[in-house]
Amino acid sequence: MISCGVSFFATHYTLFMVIVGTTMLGATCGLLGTFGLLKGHSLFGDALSHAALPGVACAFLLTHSKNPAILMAGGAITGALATICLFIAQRFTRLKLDTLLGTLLSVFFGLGLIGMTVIQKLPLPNQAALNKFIFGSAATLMPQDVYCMAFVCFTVILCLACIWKEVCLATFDTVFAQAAGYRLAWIDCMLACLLILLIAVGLQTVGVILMSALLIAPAAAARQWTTQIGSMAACAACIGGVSCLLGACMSYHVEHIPTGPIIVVVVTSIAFVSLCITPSRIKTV
Amino acid sequence: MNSISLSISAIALLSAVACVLPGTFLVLRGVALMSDAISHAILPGIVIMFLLVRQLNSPLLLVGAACAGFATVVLTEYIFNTKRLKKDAAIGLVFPLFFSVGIILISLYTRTIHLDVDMVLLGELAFAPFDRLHIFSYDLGPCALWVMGVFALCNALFTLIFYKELTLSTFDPVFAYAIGFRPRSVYYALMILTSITAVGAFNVVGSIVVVALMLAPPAGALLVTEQLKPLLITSILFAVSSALLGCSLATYADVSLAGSIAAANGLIFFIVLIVAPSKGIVSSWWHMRATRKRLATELSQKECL
Repeated sequence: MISCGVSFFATHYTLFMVIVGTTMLGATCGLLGTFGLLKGHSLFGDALSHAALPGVACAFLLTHSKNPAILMAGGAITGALATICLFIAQRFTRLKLDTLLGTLLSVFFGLGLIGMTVIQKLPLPNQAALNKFIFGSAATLMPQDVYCMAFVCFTVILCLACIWKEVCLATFDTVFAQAAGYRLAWIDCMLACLLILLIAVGLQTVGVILMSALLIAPAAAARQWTTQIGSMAACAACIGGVSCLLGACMSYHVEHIPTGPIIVVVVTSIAFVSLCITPSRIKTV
Repeated sequence: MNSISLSISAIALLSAVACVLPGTFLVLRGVALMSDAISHAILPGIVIMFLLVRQLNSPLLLVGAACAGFATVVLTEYIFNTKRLKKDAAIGLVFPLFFSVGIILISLYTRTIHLDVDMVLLGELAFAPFDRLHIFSYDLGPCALWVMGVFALCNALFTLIFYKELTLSTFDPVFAYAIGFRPRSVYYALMILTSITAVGAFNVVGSIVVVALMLAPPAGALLVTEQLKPLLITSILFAVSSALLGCSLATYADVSLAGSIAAANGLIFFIVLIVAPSKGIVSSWWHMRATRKRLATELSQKECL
């Protein structure tokens, strides 16, 4: 039976690549999204996903290459820029987080659109397409893309495991964390960097909307099942991974539908089911 | 400036006014990203209505989009009211689902028809002046001008007529409910207005510009004033300036109109963020520094005593 399974995957190599890549991504997003959800920063991932577009456009304009690593680096740089603007604005003004996120999201994406029109006017082959950025191209994952994703996901999980105690403390009791001498700014910075890395690597494969959904829905679902941070993170990782697996398999069997939207529907359905069937908690979130 | 670019500027101006009025109240209520959510979530409404009507230019598409927008708001509110998730998580759970359903429907049923997602995001402002409104063989100008004009007027009237209700339910919903107002109805009315404006405006300028126009001007205005009337006026001023600036930039540099307007919004916001008196970055940093110095002096004086 194992040899059957191995031969199945050998003949369906593309499916195998897509499954492995998206499952790793889903699990890591679920893990990282847990902290975003608990802090109330869930839509930070959405804003960063949109803010990566000008970076991708600039990277293409400067280097004229469609090498995913270069585009990814560009997206990560503008994502970092947006994060810095956000932190500065939060530190010095009283504007709320969602206002700042919405402003940065739309402004950066608008800059990206300007970049896209500049690209379209250039007489170059291999022009990056907006649709690919929004929807990703999960169905055409190459082995090197999957290795890249594996490396980034492993790095993110390793970093998170190293700073696990500090991040938990900073999430649940900021006052005590500050009093105990932990530098909250560094912890926030670290989490933001991990998020930027993950989004940069996930965007080109699964697109903007899926990244936003993967960072919120698994954590939201896991929150309903448990109140312990460790089991919530593990549950979110499982839900993220399993829904990506199911979504990838389903999109392989149904023609013409991009993988990303199916995964979003699966993971959001799991979240809705979790919201409906779990017993209500007395305390609010 | 020829009549085409004049039309484009006029349409952009009216879109700015139409968007910024509900946007200010969204920002004040802390549900700013609902505008982004609605812009994405109207896609399945358009697709379903298109599948029923089979016409790309039907106004019923806008009705479908408005219904989808309203459904998003209702579902988000329902999830938030179960107290199982925070507001931002509720918003972020609903709109990707709607958007993905829209994409799946497009992929399944409209493969042979060019229902372009680019159109949803970017709008067609550059082509808007050519789609003209003809009544009894009189050319009344671009369709989009009339549509955005009507929306701007409706939103302005809504804000003027229901000013008391909007103010009270935004700043003190509990008191509003206690004295007999209906803050929930005001909230849903505001959301319907936001959906309809987003729908009408995305057709012209695209959903990203809608979000930029709804959020960036009030955000900048909040750094300048704290009174509601000056806030509304300043937001309108910022929105109009950014629309005109964006149009000029797009014509001058021959780049995307939607991107330019959004970027112009960003430019104005960043300038205000840095130089705003008493709330901007420079001013805040200066005050923080002065306060730290004063505290250090006072502490050292106390130690000396």
